[in-house]
Amino acid sequence: MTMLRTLITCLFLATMMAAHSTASGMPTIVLDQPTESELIELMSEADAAHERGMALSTVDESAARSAFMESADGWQRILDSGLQNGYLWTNLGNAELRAGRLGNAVAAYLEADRLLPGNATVRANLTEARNQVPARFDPEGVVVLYDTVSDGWHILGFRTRWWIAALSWVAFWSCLVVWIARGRRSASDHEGRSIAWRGLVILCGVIALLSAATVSFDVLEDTWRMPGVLVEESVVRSGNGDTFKAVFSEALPAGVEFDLLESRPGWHHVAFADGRQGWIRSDHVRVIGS
Amino acid sequence: MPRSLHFINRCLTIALLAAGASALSRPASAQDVSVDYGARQIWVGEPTQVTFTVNNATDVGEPVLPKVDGLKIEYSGARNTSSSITIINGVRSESTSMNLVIEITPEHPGDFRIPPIQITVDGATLETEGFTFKAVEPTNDGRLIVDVIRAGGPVYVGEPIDLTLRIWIRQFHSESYDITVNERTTWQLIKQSTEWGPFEESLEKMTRAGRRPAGKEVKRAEGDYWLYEITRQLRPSGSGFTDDLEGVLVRISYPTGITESRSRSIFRRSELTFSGLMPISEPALVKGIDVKPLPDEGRPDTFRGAVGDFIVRAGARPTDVAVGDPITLTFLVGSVDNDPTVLQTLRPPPLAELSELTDSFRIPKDPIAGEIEDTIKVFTQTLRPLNDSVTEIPSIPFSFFDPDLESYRTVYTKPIPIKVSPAEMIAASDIVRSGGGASSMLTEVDQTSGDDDGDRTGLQANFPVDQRMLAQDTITLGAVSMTLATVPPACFVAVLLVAGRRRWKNAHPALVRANGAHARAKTGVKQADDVMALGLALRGYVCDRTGRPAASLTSNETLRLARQAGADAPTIASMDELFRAAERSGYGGMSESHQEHATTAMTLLGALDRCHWVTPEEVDR
Repeated sequence: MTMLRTLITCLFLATMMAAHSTASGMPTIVLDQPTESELIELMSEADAAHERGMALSTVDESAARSAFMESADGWQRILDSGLQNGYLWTNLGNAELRAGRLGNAVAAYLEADRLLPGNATVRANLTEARNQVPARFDPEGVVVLYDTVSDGWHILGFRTRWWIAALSWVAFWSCLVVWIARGRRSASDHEGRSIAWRGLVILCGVIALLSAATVSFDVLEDTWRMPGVLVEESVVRSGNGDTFKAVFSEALPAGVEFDLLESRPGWHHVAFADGRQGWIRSDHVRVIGS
Repeated sequence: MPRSLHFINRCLTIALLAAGASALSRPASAQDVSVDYGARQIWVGEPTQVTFTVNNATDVGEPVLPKVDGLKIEYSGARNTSSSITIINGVRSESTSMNLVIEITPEHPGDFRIPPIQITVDGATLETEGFTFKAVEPTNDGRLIVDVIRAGGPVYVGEPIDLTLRIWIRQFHSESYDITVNERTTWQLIKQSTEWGPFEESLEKMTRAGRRPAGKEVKRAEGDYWLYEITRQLRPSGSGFTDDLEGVLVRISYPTGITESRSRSIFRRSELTFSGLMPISEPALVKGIDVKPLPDEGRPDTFRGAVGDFIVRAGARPTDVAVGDPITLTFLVGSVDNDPTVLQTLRPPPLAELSELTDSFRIPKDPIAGEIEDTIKVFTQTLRPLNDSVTEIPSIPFSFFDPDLESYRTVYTKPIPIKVSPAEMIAASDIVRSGGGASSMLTEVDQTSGDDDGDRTGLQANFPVDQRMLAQDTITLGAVSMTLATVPPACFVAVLLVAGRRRWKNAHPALVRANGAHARAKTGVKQADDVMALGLALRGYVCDRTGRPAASLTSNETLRLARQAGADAPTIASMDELFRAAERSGYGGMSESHQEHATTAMTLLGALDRCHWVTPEEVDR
């Protein structure tokens, strides 16, 4: 029994150390990047430009737009320095949207939604930006089902679900060990206590599997789906060249979303939400997570 | 050489050496300051310059300007700095010169005295002498007359009018020399600071062509004048039109006298120059320009500000298209008066607002810019037929105000027949939902996003700048996650193995004991102090392997069990020998070689390991 306790303790310690290294690894800034204080200063400047734009928006629309563009450039510089998180992308999206660059705004919100799946603020602003896009494809098929289901688990953030999965996974195996050890050793224990142990093990196992599955789906989706956004009005063509016939009767506006299927020099083969496909100039689009 | 010549030669050499030495030892030059005060009579409002020339100085400070009531005195800075190096007979001398300029502008007429002005030169303060001058107010007295006129009656806003700027400059006649300044020289009296207003463009065109307005001799009641005329066609855009014309201000330097002087050429010929020039400026008097606003009555909805007389034509290419295909519509507007200036500000008809067009075509709402070709302005726009029932591009109206008729007119293009076939490709209207379109489409958009709370709240504010923003987010499962996924089950398996091994040991104690027999016997042999202990170790080994209680076997029983386990004869003999020695040692008190028997015991353990021992459980089974 002493050995069992030692093993379980080691198991917990290993888990906590792994989790700690993960958790402490997340906020670590990559070396050769701006220092934390420099980043905070850059963020404050970008935020101040945004606030200035808000103040000017009712007085001088042009000046306000310039301020929002300045703010967007500031957030973009921070992201270009290597720091990536959903909060930065959201603030960039806000500035881009108010500066009138709809395609860039949608792209920024999609980046934020990727890193902060299910965040209410990100979703609200993404929806607001999408509603300003003058054209949209209605999604259909498996994508709709998957998106609907994944919206359910996205109530909790990726990191939260990762922690739940990790802790419940460790708890499941630990309880299993204890339950097996106790069951063998004390056959004379009350039947009720045995059922409680069994229930605890099953509960931990189910929670671990479900949360790990959602986390895995998020990761798989990130590599499997390559969403993109038109950042400029673009004509969709049936092939990778300007000489190919236009697929739609008019150019699609900035902000229209798609999934990237294939890339060739200068062109992307894309599929829209309703399943229709076409080729778009690569300099007119932004691929999320690229 | 004669002696006298030799003496003269010597004297000359000494004299040259003395002259050279004196030149070399002479200082290069001395610092000095001179002042040029300019004229003693100057004009009110006209700046005059006082120039200080500083020679051979390395460090020159700014002049200390005095304050004189009625005068504006400003330092204009150093100008014309120059330096020169002279080498004469091998002697090098260097000199520098710098001009410091002060501008003095009288603010009212009167006699003024400038007190001495101080300048610091190479650390020393130098002071000029004071000087006086007189400021006189220039008077026009009909020397310069300026006006802007146009022929004809009132004009409408946007209607072209021909304007003429007239400049009269009274001819200057010198009684002393009995000459009159000609029109060419008189034109040159006009200053560059003249504000020409709308006529500047005309003047620039003439200058580029190497021309200037020609002066005509005109007699007026005030005397004889040179008249210069500059014309310009303009289109009044509103009531502020005459304000621009009244902004014209002509400035001239009118001569006050003529004097004779010598030219600077090598011939030093006598020539006449102006002895003085009086600054005169005169604004333009705007006469007879009445601009009327366009009437509101009868103004068509399609009117976009065109004034004049126009004709329109339209063309389209291609005319055989599928639904949604682009058709390039070319809309031409020509000026009947062959006036290209009217086309510059001409705007196209509001195509995207014409229901005749929008009912059948999709038209971009972006403003279109036209191109002017001679007297025609060409506008192009892309139309896309909405359905295959469209058979023509209807007449396009163009409205303008005709100033001759003093009413609005609308002219139309001819309808253009086109052929529209059903779309082969997907129409955008089939798949694209317009955000600003019909309500049903909007409803669809809202339903799509209706599950999201954010849709009701609109755009939400920025995330605050805090430590959260420094987090590095990733959507990956790295080595940590893999470790975490594999370590708990691995540990669980390890625990299971350990527990199972323990349970197996508890269930098979004889087997566990037999497995550990060799190790224990080996330890006993190594730790044995005498031969008897070696015998005990061997008997203990056989007890462990056969499951008998420890130390329960005699030597004979041990040999029997070894024989039963398949030990060969030499091994049995060696064991017997060892047991006998142990008995001799234990009971007889005989001392034998312990090391030799220990080696034998180790060899025996190896031989006994190869035997097939039978445990009591196996016997029972």
